Amino acid sequence: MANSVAEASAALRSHAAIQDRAGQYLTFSIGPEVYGIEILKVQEIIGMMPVTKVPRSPDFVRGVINLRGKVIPVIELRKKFEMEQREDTSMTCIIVVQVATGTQSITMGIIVDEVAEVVAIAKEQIEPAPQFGAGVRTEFILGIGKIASKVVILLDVDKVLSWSELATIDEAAKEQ
Amino acid sequence: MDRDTVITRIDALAECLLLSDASDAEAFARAKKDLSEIAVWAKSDGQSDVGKILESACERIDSAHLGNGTSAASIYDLTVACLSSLQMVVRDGCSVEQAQFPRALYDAVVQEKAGDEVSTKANESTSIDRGILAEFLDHASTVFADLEPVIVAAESHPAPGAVAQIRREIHTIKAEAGFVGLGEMSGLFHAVEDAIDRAGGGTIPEGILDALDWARRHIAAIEGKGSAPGSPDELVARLREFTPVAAVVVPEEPAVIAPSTRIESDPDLMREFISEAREHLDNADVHLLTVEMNSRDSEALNAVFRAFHTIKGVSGFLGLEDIKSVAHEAENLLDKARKGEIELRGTYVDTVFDTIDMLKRMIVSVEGAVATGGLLESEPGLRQLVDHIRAVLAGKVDANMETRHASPGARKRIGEILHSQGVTNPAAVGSALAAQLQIDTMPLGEILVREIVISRSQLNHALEIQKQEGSTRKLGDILVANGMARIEDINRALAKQSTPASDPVGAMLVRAKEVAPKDVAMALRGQKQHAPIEVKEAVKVDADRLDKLIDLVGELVIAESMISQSEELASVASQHLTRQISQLDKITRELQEIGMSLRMVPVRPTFQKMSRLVRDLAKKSGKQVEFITEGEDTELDKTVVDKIGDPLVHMIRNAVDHGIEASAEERIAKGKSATGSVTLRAFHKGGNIHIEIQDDGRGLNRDSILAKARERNLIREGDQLTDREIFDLIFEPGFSTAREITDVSGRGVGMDVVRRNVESLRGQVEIQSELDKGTVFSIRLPLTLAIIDGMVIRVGDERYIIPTLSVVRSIKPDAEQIATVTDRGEMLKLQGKLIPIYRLHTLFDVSSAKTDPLDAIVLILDDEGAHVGLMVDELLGQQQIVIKSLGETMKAVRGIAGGAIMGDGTVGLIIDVGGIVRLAEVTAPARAKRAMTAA
Repeated sequence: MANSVAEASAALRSHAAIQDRAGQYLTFSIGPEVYGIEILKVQEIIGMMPVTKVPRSPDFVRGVINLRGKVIPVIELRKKFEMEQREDTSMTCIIVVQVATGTQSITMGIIVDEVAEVVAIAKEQIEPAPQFGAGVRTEFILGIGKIASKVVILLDVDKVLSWSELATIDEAAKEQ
Repeated sequence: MDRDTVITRIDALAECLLLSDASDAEAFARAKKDLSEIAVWAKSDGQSDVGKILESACERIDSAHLGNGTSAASIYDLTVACLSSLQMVVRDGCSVEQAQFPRALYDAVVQEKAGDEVSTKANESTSIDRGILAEFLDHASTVFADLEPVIVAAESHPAPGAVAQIRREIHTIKAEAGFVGLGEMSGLFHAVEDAIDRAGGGTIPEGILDALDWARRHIAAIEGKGSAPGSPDELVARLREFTPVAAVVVPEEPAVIAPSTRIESDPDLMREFISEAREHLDNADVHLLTVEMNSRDSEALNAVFRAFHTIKGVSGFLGLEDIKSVAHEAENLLDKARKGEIELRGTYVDTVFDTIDMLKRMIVSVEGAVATGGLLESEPGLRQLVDHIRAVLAGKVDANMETRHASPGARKRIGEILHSQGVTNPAAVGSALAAQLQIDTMPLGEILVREIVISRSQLNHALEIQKQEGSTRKLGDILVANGMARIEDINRALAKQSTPASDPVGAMLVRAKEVAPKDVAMALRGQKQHAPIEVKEAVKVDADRLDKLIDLVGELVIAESMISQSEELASVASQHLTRQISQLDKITRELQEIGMSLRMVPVRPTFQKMSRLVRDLAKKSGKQVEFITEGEDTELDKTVVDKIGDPLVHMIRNAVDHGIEASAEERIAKGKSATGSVTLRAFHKGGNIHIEIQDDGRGLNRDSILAKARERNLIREGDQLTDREIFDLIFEPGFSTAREITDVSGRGVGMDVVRRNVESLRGQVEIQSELDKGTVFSIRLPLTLAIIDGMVIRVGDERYIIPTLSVVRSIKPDAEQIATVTDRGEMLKLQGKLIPIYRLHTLFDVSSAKTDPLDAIVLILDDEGAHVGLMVDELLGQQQIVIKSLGETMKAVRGIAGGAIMGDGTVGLIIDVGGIVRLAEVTAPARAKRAMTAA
């Protein structure tokens, strides 16, 4: 009984959350998949540039770049999503995003295979992230957007690039 | 009493209340007396409604057992509002309705008229807002829950602190209960409080817990959760009968001795107090300067007095006893001046300035304690200051004594004098002068705030009222109507507004926080005897913009070198272009130099503070110490100057306290002059700034330090250490508790702090010392913080930058120099010493780097005096780099101090030498750091 109430309220909550998720998304691809991030989080898109590797940082951190005099970290989403590595191509881009971490926002770059387009997704087109059971992390997925026949995985940038994960850099390094 | 007398009394009372505040019991007593007498008059004059309202006000003053923040403040507001309505009735002949007496009072009278005289328990709270009552009930329940265990504990082990806490809480509840109209509860707790007082802090009277239980049941009944507990009379009687078994007389503690207290008041109230106190103090600074110039300026004097008075009052009910007591002392002094008993000048003014400074520091501590929720430490020197004020008041200190000599020479302008004394810079004076020329009229409210007639929050409140009313009334009228200001104050402020005479330069500078008010006072004294000369023109610039400019100049330097060194350009054989480029190069360098110089300030003010410190320390310890400063004009980056103060204080204190021998005889016996000397000097050397503290005292005792270090397992038995390594031991954290050190060698308090602060400025500390001859502490600091000289190195495909300051030398080792020592890894034999070699490529996990030390280059780096070798592939050259933060996400990366934009636009990483060494030690824990340096 208690279980079903909890489930019902969870469903209700996710439904309410989806209501706010309608909006404009920047879509990009990594491998065959198409992902979307809220357009409001995106600062700019820049072409690939030489990245300085930062020693003893997690492997999904490719390094740091000079964004007009400001040093910002760049994250490799392929590694973050535990996908196969591949060489950068001429289509490889860095999407510069503003990540909210508690009180402040941090500028970061994310490396993606290819930037596609900006699409408006209505709330009817969004479904909650499917549950794959334990072991599959879906908390950084806002929902699944369906545009015509395409499926767009909508990412919660703040969670994907959670600061706490980056802050553990040193800890991870120490344990080696 | 006739109408005119009443009007005079009302006015006098209003003035008295305005000059006081909610914590002033005297003012309340007077208000009560006056109001009740006026009530009698009003009734005899046929204005029975007014009489009743006033009686009701008196009752409220009575019930609001003072000293409690919330209720006292609201009663204060109520009284003031009541007074202003009373003025309208008596003076202007308004009707009771027109006069708009406070609702709480007016309603009581109207209710009485309607014959509604029922005062049963259920109705007790009708005149009070339901919300306030609910809030009180909620608060009281929490307090009772917190209090119970304290009382239980205190009953078995009475502790003065616990009893004081209980008393405080009970007092608060009592006052609040009275305020919300719960008369029985208030009475009960009044009895409890009395009983505690009679117990004298020794024992806890029985029946407190019963009283709590009664109050709980009462609250529950009000909330509708049970039946009313009946009358508390029996409890009250029991408490009245209470007599302490063995009353322990607690000696009256001087208010200032409270080493640390926890701040218990509402953080919001605290924050408001902090910001208002700051503003009051800043204004007091300026007004005090006016007094310094003309001790007969009673307006300015009153403004200073009001500032202290307000701070005293507010701090009192926020429980900030230290602040209250020191403000109180200063207030006494100012009161004497107000009454004309003393003329406020010389030492008097200095003392008040000192008090303002002390209060400012205390406010900072309070702010810290509020922010962290930590304990409020008692401010050092508070006791002395209070004693000093008392001594000054008692006439034990000569009022005409000058604490500092005014600068000699021709009559100068105030800004010039201040600049020549190094307390300000031409830029600041210039901007003050510029501001003086702006004859902007200030808004009325702003003038009143500056004159400390009203507080900022009162102003905001009045403006709010104005806004709500659709600005039909003038601000002045609102302030007067709400009892926040007197008509006279408003008129004076209006007069001031219409003749915009700007503040003198000194006052402007103080307002702009450029100089200490005391310095201006000194300069003013000096000025009185001299004649004027010209002031250099200067502009005041926002520090952020300055930093931005310096950043940009740094970028420009890089961009310029990228162009001038580009290969494409080199292939263009044009003499014309070459000449233009070299011109660009020259201009860029000049721009860089000027940019750097913008942030530079002389160390003189810092040194001057030290001279005061030496004087005080010498006096305290009864030693004769001569303090010599050299190179006060040496300029340092502003950040460095700000941060170097603390380490200097520690080192100077060590030099005077422990370095210089305790007695003149001891010195003479050693063949030294009776007077000890401490020298503080600053100079440039090799692109760095050096600051040295030299004393001719006892010197460091090697053997004692070694013994201590062995005891603490910092070194091993049989380790051979150089003098420098031994002296470095005193920087070890915890090596420096005063007792141990006084016995050992007289060094070390806070030395750990010294080293950390200096290192955070990318500087280094060294000690030279000879037993019985003296000690020299040398601090080496980089010229500037934003730009450093870096050595660019390559490891595999990666480039890193090592601060040149840390690089001792680089060598290409040959096979004989490399040795592998068991448990210690690779070592480099250099000049008879073994230095550990760390491989940068392993530490940073760089592939394709050289793995054979014989092919590589070993950089000898200096880490806190110890040498380590870092194996790299190649040195690429030296260059100046602008340090960039790697941002929040990357700041925790070990071994990396920051980033820099390289010539090709990519980011280069700057190596943190200390971090690298610690990283290497973590990865190879077997290597004890001390062990490496053994021969």
